[in-house]
Amino acid sequence: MADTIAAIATAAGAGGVGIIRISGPDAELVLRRVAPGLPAVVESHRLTLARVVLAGQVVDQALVVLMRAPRSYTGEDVAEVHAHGGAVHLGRLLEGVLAAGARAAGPGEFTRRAFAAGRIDLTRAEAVADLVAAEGERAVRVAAAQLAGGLERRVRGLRAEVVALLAEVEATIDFPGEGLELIERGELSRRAGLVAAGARALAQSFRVGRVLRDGLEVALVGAPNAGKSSLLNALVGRERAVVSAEPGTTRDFVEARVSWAGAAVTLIDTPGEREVGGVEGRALELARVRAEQADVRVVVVDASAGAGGVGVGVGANRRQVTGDRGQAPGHEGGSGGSGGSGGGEGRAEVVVLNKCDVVGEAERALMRERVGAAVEVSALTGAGLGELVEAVLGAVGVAEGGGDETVVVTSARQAELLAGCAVAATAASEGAARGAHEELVAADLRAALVALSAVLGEGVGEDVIDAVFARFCIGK
Amino acid sequence: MSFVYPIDHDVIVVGAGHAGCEAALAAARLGRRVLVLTGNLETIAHMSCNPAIGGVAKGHLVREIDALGGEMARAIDDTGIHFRRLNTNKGPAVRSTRAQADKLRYRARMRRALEAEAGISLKQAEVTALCTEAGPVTLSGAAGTRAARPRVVGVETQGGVTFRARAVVLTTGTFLRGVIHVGEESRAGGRAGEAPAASLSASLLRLGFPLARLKTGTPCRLDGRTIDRTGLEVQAGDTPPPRFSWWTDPASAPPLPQVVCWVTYTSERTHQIIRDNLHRSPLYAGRIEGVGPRYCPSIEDKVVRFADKERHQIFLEPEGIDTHEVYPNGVSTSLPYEVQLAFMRSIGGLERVELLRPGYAVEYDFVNPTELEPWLETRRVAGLFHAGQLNGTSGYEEAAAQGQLAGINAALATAPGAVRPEPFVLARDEAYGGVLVDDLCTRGTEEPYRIMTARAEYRLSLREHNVDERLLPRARALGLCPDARWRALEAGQAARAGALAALAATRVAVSGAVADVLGAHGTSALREPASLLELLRRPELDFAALARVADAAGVRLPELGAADAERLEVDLKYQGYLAREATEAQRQRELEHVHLGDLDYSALAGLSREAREKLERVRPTSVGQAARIPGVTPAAISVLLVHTAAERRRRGRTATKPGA
Repeated sequence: MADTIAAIATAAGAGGVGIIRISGPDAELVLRRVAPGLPAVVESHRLTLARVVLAGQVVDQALVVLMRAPRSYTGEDVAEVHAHGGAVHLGRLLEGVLAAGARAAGPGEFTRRAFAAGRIDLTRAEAVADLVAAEGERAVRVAAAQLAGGLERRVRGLRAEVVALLAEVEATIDFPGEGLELIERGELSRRAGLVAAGARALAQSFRVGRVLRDGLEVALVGAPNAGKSSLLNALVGRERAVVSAEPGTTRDFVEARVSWAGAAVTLIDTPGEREVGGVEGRALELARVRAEQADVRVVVVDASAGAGGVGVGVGANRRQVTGDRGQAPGHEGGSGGSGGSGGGEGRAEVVVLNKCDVVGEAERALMRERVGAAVEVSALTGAGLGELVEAVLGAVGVAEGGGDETVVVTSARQAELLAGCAVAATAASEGAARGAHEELVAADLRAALVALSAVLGEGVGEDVIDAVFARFCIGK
Repeated sequence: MSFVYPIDHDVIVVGAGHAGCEAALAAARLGRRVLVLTGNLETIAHMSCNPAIGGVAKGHLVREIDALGGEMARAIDDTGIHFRRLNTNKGPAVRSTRAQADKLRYRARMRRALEAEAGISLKQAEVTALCTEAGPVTLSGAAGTRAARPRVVGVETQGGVTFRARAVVLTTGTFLRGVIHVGEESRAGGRAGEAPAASLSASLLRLGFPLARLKTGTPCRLDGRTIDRTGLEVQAGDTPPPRFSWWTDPASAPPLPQVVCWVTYTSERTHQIIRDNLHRSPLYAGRIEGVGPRYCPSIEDKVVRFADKERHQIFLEPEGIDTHEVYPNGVSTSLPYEVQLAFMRSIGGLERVELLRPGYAVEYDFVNPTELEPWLETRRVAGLFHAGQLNGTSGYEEAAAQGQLAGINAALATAPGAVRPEPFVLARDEAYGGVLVDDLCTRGTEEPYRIMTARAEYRLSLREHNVDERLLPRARALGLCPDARWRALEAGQAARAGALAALAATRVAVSGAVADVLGAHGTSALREPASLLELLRRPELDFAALARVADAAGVRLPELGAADAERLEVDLKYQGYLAREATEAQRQRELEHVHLGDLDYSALAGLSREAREKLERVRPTSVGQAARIPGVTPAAISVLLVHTAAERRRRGRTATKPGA
């Protein structure tokens, strides 16, 4: 029986609605894990509105559909999530689906399953044969492009180290009593631990990589009339949002796209945060969800409004990222071993003191005391906007004109493999330290090797055996 | 001038080494009339190199041969003089059995087994050519459809006698155009003192088989009376001696007296002598073109490649109980006689040693095993099977395992009835024999191939101890598993299942006595009552420790033999790892069921040139095998899967899911 695979089924970059497709025996189970509110019985081929929940948070109101085998594209149970928004949002949903038990589909894998199940007729089969071949080659090209430079070197470095460690363990197993001078267990544990750390760091760089690939969502939040729309217009450089002096002019959210340091940035202007009921309330609720899920929340505070204007949203329990020092959230703390598709990491937040042109230094100092470190801007004069852009990019680990952004992982599949490598290498390291049987340490190292090889699109081959013979004088 | 022997056979086995013996026995035990042709009836099952059977991964192979009804395990149990279990502290999956043999008695024992088999006739004759007939052959099932090819119908021998048969198993060892090198001397020979097979290579070339050269070597042999053993380390066998065959009572004493081995080391002077004479080594003088094994380097190689190593270990292994001949394990060489004598005498304990025979290197022809189907039949000639060193392997156990598979498949190929049965193929997750044959057929080899546990990706599942569960169902389906052994398997399974249930049902209450025992084994005390099963899952507790816990708690531990207890423990403690291997194996097996047959790869769009060349050379039977060929990428596999699906539909067959 096949396992369950998932991927984004709509073309990257397309707006509007995107589809996550899940296929395999556990498709329904995985769907229910991300959409726990589904009724106990779901009719096949029927669209249902459901809340999508990741890490305990509602992230979308989506249409979901379950197509039971064999009446589906692949002939297996297929579930689809028709979600809102662009690539960033979909990427995050896919990570959630993977965390719920699906495996990232390889190139052409859905099509292959469709063929295997006889769901595609002969004429289409001929055409798709070429398509799949092309898809495979494109995937190789894309992978090669992704791997160019630093990332490939890093992964190859990790792989070489795992091969070296595995050679040590395999030599003890296959050539006992030959008086070989082998690595000590403590050293083995230490080096396996370093491999795990390296793989984990790369897996976590996916957060940054995703920004470079898919772009970045930045939500402007804050009290009504704090100047969010003016700020958005200033950042875009043209009239985009409807601006008026009346608080609460923005009823729905407004989006604008800009390009900062090569990353595509979607700015989202949300309605002011206040209590509303009825239909409008539901729209506001959706806007709130959208803002929650943005990569960066820019909390706009009206510097001229005094203490009362600080209002809601400057979260006490949120990670704050200030203007002067950017920091990638994924790089600290969160290495608690969840290993990879981190759905639960806190969103970065940047606090902005707007309308700084109309208040004096004393007042600004007072506000700084209240809200903590903040970027001071004026949407009207454009002062401080450059610093704001820098702060936002810094908040997700993308530094303008520098940094290490060549060494980032940009595909969910690679991130998943690297996270798997980190888990396996950690197990090997702990096993070696604990005195576990060599054959188990080897099994974990081998799992790490298989994962790293897959990132490079290679097999494991004879490398370990070659390394054993190169390193040791073996034989009767 | 040619005489056609009046009796036809089903299967002819050419060669009676470790591969040939198992091939003949397997075919005969499946009811075929088998003719064994050997150049020398005195050297049946001869150990040309070290006098030992088993070792890491090799011991696994021997037990697999035993489970499939072979002879090697029983023969070594009867003639072993030193038994050991290796890797006892590295995990249950890599524990392996190894034994020193009494070389002469092992030969006699194996010859008796052949002679005891009514279906086998033995003849001394040198085979000079294969006889073939043209003719299309369609194979069924996994074999798919192969293009028309010649079919083997018999062999010619040197005296002009032709023997006819419907299948031939070639096990030529080091004899195909064998050349022996000692220093500057080279002469034709398959083994020291034995003539090579000079003509058969030409016959293979005429049939289109590409031949290549390999090299292997053996050390000199010593007169044990001239060894000074004072000061040498002693290596004794285990007590009680571990055994190979299920048919051997583990509590019984070995029939032969047990001996010890000794350990000594080369010295700096040894290395100096070798370095000074390297130019006289045929290998370094460039007179040997064949490729030698990396895992079994000559002492010349060791000294050159690992120049910074101060000394190399040598095991002194007796060759039998009533001979003084000793095998020095670790100093294979082809240096001139006088250099061998000089460097051997520079080794501790060997200062006055006398050589019985010199070491030598031997070069021989082999056929790259990518020429073979995964059931060891050649693709060029129907009914022709290759096994052993002819396929580029080294080692008695590797040879025997292939011989057995070739013999089984030769028997299936000559089964009565119109439809040829499915070939017998072992999977990589099922047996080391499966790993071995798949590696050979899929990757080919450029040096003598040796099995290792590192080659088995499902290593934790392939244990010596669970060989019965792995292979007896296969043996039984063939008719090679006697009822007694099948009943023993069922009894063992029932005992383990019963014990498992009892362990789960027996609760241990929280008490000071229990806490003390748990503490003594370095594991934490109970906070609430737990079952014995839960306690056994703890890494710190084995069955023996569990017995002490049960004592302290005043509960009964279910009774279980030591071997069954170990198996139950492994299944419990390795659950996660074993499940991971099973999942991966299952995924792989689905691809094994997508058959490829005779594809025209040049007509497939989307294959890279490298992938196409590799696929054309190996001609994999399934997509699973194709995926293991180095250089065949996942993109190429997609192309193959799509093509096979389209083909299936074009032929109008009902589409089925792979593996369904």
